[in-house]
This record gives sequence, structure tokens and C-alpha cells, in this order.
Amino acid sequence: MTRRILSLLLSLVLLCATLGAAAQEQEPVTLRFTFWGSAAEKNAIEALAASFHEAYPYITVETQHIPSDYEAKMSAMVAGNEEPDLGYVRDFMALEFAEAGKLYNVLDLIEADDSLELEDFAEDFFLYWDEGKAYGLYTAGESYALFYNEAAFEKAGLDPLPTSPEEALTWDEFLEITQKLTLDRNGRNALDPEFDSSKIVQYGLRFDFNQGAYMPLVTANGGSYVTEDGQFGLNQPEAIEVLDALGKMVTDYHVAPSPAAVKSLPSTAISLTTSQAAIIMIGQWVLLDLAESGVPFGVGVLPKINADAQYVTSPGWGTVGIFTSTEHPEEAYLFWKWLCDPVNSVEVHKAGLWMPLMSEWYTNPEYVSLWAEDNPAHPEGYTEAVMMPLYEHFAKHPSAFVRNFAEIDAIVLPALERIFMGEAGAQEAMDAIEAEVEPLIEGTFGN
Amino acid sequence: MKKRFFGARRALGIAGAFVLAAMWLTPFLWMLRSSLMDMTQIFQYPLVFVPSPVQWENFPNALTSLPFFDYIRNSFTIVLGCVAGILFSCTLSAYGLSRIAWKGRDAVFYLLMTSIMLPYFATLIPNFVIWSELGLTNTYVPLILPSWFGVGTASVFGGGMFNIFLLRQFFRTIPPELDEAAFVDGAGHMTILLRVIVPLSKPSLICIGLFTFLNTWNDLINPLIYLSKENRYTIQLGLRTFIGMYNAQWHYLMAAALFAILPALLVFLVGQRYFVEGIATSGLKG
Amino acid sequence: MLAHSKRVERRNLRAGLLFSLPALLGFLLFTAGPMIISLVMSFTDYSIAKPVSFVGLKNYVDLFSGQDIFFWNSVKVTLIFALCNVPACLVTAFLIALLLNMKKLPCLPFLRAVFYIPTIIPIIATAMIFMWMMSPDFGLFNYLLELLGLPGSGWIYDASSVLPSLLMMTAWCSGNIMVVFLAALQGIPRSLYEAIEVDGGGQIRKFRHITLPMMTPTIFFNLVMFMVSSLQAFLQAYIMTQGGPLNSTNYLVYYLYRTAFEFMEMGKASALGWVLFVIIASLAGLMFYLSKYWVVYGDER
Repeated sequence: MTRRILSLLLSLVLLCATLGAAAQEQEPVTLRFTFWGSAAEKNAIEALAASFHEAYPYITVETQHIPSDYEAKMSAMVAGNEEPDLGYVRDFMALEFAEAGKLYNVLDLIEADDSLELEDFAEDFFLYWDEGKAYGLYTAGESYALFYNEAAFEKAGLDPLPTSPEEALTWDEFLEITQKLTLDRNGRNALDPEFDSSKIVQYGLRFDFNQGAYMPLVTANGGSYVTEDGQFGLNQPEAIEVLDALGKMVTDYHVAPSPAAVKSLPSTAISLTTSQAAIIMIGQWVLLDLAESGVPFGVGVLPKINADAQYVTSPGWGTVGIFTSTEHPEEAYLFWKWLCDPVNSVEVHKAGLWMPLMSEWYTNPEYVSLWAEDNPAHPEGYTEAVMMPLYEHFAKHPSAFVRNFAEIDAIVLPALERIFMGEAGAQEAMDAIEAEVEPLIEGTFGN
Repeated sequence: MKKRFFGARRALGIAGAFVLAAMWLTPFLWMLRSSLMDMTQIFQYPLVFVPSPVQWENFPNALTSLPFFDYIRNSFTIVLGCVAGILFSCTLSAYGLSRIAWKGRDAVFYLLMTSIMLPYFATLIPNFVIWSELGLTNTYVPLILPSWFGVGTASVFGGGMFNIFLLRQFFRTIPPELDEAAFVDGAGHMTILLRVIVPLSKPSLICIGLFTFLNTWNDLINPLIYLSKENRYTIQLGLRTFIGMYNAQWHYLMAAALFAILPALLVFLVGQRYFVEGIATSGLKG
Repeated sequence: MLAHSKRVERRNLRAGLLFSLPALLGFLLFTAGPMIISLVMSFTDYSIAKPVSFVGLKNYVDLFSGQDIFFWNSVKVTLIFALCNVPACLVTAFLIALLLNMKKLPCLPFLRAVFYIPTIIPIIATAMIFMWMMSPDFGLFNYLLELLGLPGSGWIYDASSVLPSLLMMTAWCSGNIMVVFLAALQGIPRSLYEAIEVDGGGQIRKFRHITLPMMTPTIFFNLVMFMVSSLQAFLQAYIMTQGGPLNSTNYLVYYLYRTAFEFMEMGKASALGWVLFVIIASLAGLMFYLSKYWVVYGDER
């Protein structure tokens, strides 16, 4: 008897639920989503918007791709009160927006959502502007590492680069490898006494002249961009050691292109495939381009500046922010969640553009095999050299938490240029700007 | 003796003109050459001067990756709106500032001329805020409407006040007897403007029309600030986007750039004689 | 009679204002109005993300006191650029105009087009060609230098050569000035030259005594216009050099743009705008003042 009543009750509940759902026949909602990125990223985002629309037919996501001048465009939109419902935001801009109340605290949103737990995400990927307040997650996982052209290694008779952080190359070993890989027009390498450094056809190493390249090494060495007691960090010994070593790669050993020489090279990924650079030190998003080129390549861990240094890798510098001005916060959150869950974009992960934001995709071998193994974008050693370090040896870039980062970096970048152009030593260049940077240091967000 | 010397100098001048012209042409030829190569050839050393094989497919490849033809259409919409607006507003204003004698006219003219000295960017921010308060960003209104009030693009040459200046200078050269005669016949200012002044000023009008066309066509800043939706992008914004996406794929960049030049080039070739004529007849003097 | 002329005067005033209305309205709505708003903004700390408050002269004080470390350098590089750019382009354009004005020059329409076309090319495209030609390793320029046995240059990528490199590019694009010169040259009455020919004067005398004086109003016009636009240099810095290398192209307008849209400090950006306006206006004023010493107006004959 009770059983029958129960089942009756149950079916009633079900009926109500169905009716409710039918009554909820939602008003159509359109969300505007802005983002940057390459053509591949554009395709990926558009595909995600389309699959989202299939899952939630009443929500249409209007994607707006802004591949250049993104910061300016975003500033203009916010100044004119016409920011998107949600979109990519540079971390340093997002900090200011969030503090001004222009971005949602995603921790609140996730907490209110029964289908999602904070623990689902890799904890490091949350970007905070204050205690318990996060303006978002990274747009995707990314990780700095070395990528190299296999043919160039074979030609130079070199072994593959180590893929385990424990076996990371010392700086001297690294330098020697890059010297052997740097070739002039006559085929002489940089160790040859007759090497002509003005006619280089293949550089041993290529790296960017911004925080992406030097900060993981500086952090690994115990240094920082801005110290905890509010001092400029880049003229401290830990940072100088790195900047000096990187600078010498360019100016003394000629194994890496100078800022001027870089301008005539194609993009970093392409310079590897055309073997204008044998090793590139960059974020793992290049995997997509490398894989597409079909040129055999390998991955390795970043070198160590000295024996005591830790191993550290860092992600990119963007987030997906949900603007508080949106008229459809719930729908915006749904799309945000859609973007964050790798299950919706396995193909993009597999193609090498993104790394997952959720823990299980790093820790559960079954999930790992879905994206990081046995495909052209993820060569042997990838999980060890690139994937696990991101999970275990992670440090955010300073742009994610240093106040006035944009203003400070506007002073730092030209000073770095001086180092890489050989106009000043690392210590001299950084000391010269200390007095200019100090007044801008106002601590870190959330600290 | 003297005659020969004279001839030698002339020959030297002609030779100089052609040498300079060759230098002026070099960038185009280099662009053309680079747009027809593939990626490896473009980075080959020593440099290759003639592409072989010629990669014609660079053009379709570059031009189909973004809706360039839509961008061209958008650009034309804006450009035509601006040319019409500038012709309308500048003709009327230049007439009011030259053919009618009224108290304070010259003071007003000089006041207006000060706007040439205003840095465009200083007014861009307030203008942008106003347009977005009105909800008109992402439409062509902020790009077109100012030209109906004599305000053109950021450039000084061919900007709004430049046009009014040019026209006013020309209108002043037309003998006043002409409209006095029409006045006696009972014609109003509008009739005089349309029947007497405009027909006489065709070269100048065409000249400012061309200036406006080219300036608006090549304007990057205003579309960049005001237009966010891709389907409204102009050709310059499209080109900028293209650079962002295919950074350092020089063969594609050159192909796209050549394509973006074409319409302006055609307009110039058709109207080129009016440039000199239009300016010459106005007798540019302060 | 007096009443009549009063009426005519009033009628003319009304008509004059009515016809000038588009420009007047445009000036008030799109130029003077926003300029005043920007003046007000320059006394605030308006920054996109934060609430606004008045800060008095703080923005200006920050700029002039050197608190803002970019400002003075920015003024310096802007002035240097303008002071080099104006003569470089004016001389080039004048020279070309003289060549094109030669009697019975073969292929005139073709040559005129060749010299003018760079002006109609979108600046992005121009920037792209020059960046490509100036590329240190794969560029045409360094290749040609090497063929001649000369050392290569860093062109726009080197702080010491960026200015001349950009001048090369702007001179290439000086077609507008060239056209104005050409028009003026063609406007010089033949009869004046004939007078000199009768006296048995040569080309040089013709140039010194007729061409040059007759051209002074046009030179003055081009000088003022081009000075004003050179001081507002922006696009090359924005597209090609991003203010570098080593801030050597961090022109005021580019710095204004960065302050507004990158650092989001609209208040300070407005102050920069006003500083630039004052610089431009005073230089233009100076030129007008000096013009009476060298500009020859034909009407004064």
C-alpha cells in the first residue's frame, strides 16, 4: 500500500517537474562574449558556442573575436558601459575591474551551483583579487616549457632534452646545447672559433622578452617581480642572475635572437618548424601550430639557473570574467561553466591549444589519455615535462596579482630591452629603473 | 653652347624624376613579390627577387580567411555617407563664410580654424563616452554624422576644416558681380549657391570629395574605437584583425594589404587630375 | 537709407549664420564641447574602473614635476620628430613638385600617380611594407646594403636608427604636400618668368626671384599644416614600434592613447591632450608671428 502511495507521489513529482520544465519554456537570451586569440582559438570558441546553444537552445552566444588591441578595446567598452556579458580579460585589467565591482566573484557562483564543486578545479587556477574573492579561472591551463626541432637535434648529434623536472639541465649544459645548435651561413656552430655571429641562419634558442620567459626562472630561483615587503624584485640577486644569464645568451653567446633580430623572424612556432630556431621557450599553446606543421618536434623541461633552484612553470595571463553589468547572470554563468569544463572541448585540448582547468584531467589516467597522449600535438614526454609540472610546480605570473602591473611593466619592458640589446648589464638596467618603479608599487592584490 | 647646357640640365632633371619614381615604386614591387611567394621562399637567403613558382593561391587563401568583401562593403557605406556629408556641410559653411558679408564672420572663421590644432585624441574620449551614452556605438552614426557637420577624420590634410578652408579660398576668387546680378533677379542665397557657385567650383568640390573618400577609407582609429561587431568592420579594421591572426605570415599579409589598397587606388586613378586642379584653382594663400 | 542698411545687415547676419550653421554646430558639438569636457576631465582622476573625484591640478603637476617618468621624454621625442619630419617631407615634396613641373615632362600622369599613390595607401599597409623591407635579416634594405659592401642597419628596430627610418617612410608618403606645391607652381603666371627671360636671366635666377617668393605662401601653409599633423604623430608608433625601441617613439599622442586605453587613466590622458594642444597652438602662433618676415603675399604688390 505504502509502496503504491509512494510511487504515486513519485510520479506526481515527476509530472510536476515535467510541467515545470515546460512552463519554464525560457525566454530566448543572447549573450555577448569577447575573446582574443589565433584563428584556431576562434574556431574553438565558435564551436563551443554552437555546442552550448545545442545544449541550451534558448541561449545564443554571440562571439566577438578581437585578435588585436584587445586591452584598448576592452577599456573603451567598459568606459562606454557596453562591456560584454562575459569575455576574456587580461589578468591585470581584471584585477582592477573586479575591485571596482565590475566582475562577479566566481567562488560565490560555484558555491551556489550544486552540480559543481570548487574542488573540481585545480586550485592554483583561480585568480583572486581578495581573500575569498576570485574573478575567474585562467582562460585555459598553459605551461611554459622547451620545445625543439628533432631534425636540428639529430643533425647536431644531440640527445633529446630531459623531460623530468628532476633531470632539468643546468644552465651550462643548456648553453652548450644551444651553442651547438646555433649555425651561421657557413654551417659553423657557435662553439667554432670562426663562427660568424652576424650571419646566423639557425638560432639555438628563442624566447620572448617578457614575464612569460623570465619569471618562471626567477621564481624558481626564489626571486620575484615585486617582493613581499614591497620592494622592486627584478634588481635583487635572484632575478639578476636569471636576467643576466638570458641576456648573455643574446649578447655574448649569440645563441638567441636579439629584439631587433626577432622582428624579422616569423612567429615563434613557425620559426621552429622552419628551423630558424632549434629550441623555443614558450607556453604550450604552440603545440597546435607545431602539430599542424607536421614537423617532428619534442618537448623538454625548462633549464635550471643554478643547482639550488626549484622547478617552476607558469600559465598564460588571461581570465574569463563575468561582468556584473550583465542582464543574464545565470545564463552567463552557464556558458562560463561550459567553457571551463574540458569535456566540452576535448578536441581543442587534444589539438594542443589548451590544458584542462579541472583536476581530474591531470590526475586520472583515463582522463589524461583523452587529451594528452597518443596524438600528434602531444609528443612523448609531454605529460612529464609539461602537464605534471603545471599541476605540481606552479607559480602565477606577476600580472595576476601585482598592483599597477601595467604601469610598472611599461617601465620594465624598455629596461629589459636594454639588457637584450647589450646596452646595459642586467644589474645596471634594473637598478636604473628602481627609483621609477618604487612609487608605483602598492603591494599585491588580495595580500 | 648655352642651349646645350640647358638641355643637359633638363635631361638630368628628367633622369632624376625617373630615378626617384623608381625608388617610390620599390615598396610596391617588393610587396607584390612577397605576396606571391610561399613561406620558405620568403625567408630564403640570399633573397629571391622573382617568385617561382608564383603562388597565386596566396590571394584566395588570405582573402577567404576573413570576410574581406563584407568589410569592403562596410567601408563603402561609411565612405559614401561621409563624402556626401562633407560636400553638404562644407559647401554650405564655406558659402556662409565667404559670400555673405556679416558681422563677426572672420572671427568665426578663425575660431573654427583653431579646431585644426586640437589633438584629435583629446576629443576622442569625451566623444566616445557621449556616443555610447546615446547607445550609438557599434553603428555607423558616430562615423558618419560628424561629417554632416563639417567634422572629418583625424587627419589634418583633408580633415573637415581643411575642406572648408579650401572651398572658402576658392569661393572668394569668384567675382562678386556674378551673384549680385543674380540677387537683382530676385534669387535667394540657396539659388545662387546651387546655380552660380557650385557649377563654377566643380574641381574644388571633386577635390575635397576625393580627399574625404581617401581619408575615410584609410581611417583606422575611429572604426577601431567605435565598432566592435565583426560584421560591421571596415577594411582597415579587417586588415588589422588579419595581422593579429596571421602575425608574421608575411606572404598573406602582403596579399591582403594589396587587396585593401585596390579600391582607393582605382578612385585615385579616376580622379587624380582633380587633385591638382582643385587645389590650384583655389590659390592656397593664408 | 540707414534703416535699410541695418535691415540688410541683420538679414545678412541671419543668412550667414544659417549657412555656417553645419560647421558651427559641428564645432560646438564634436570639437569645442568635447574639448571642454576633456578639460574638466583633466582635473579628475577619472579611471575607467573607479569612481571619479576632482584632484585639482594633480595630473598636470604629476606630468611637469617628472613624477610621470614618460612625459618629458615623450615631449622631447615628439618635438624632435616634428622638427625633423617637417623639413624632410617639405623638401622632398618640393623637389618632386619642381621636377613634375618641368616643361613637357614625359609620362607626367604616370609620374604624378607614382608619387601620390603612397599617400592613399592605408597606413597599416604602408607600415607592413616598410617593416618588412626594414627587417634586419630578411629585408630588402639590408640586403642591398650588403651587396654594396655596407654594414646593415637595425632600422626601426634600433633606437639609434629609428628616427631616420621613420622619416624615410613619411617622406615617401608626402604626396599631399607635393600636390599642394605642384598646384601652386602651376599657378605662377608664365608672364613673370618671361620677364626674367627677356632680361637674359637663367634658371637659377628664375627660381630665386620668382619661384621661391611666389611659393612662400604655399610653403607657409604646408609648414603650418604639416607641423600640426607631425606633432600628432601616432600611427607609426602604434603600428610599427609600439613606442620603442627604448621609448624613442613614445610620441605624445601615442602616450596619450596608452594612458587612456592601456593604463585606463582617462583623467591624466585628458591632461596630456591639453598639454599637446597648448604646444601645437603656441608653435602655430609662433609660425604666424614669424611669417611676416618671410612670406610674400602677392596681393601686397
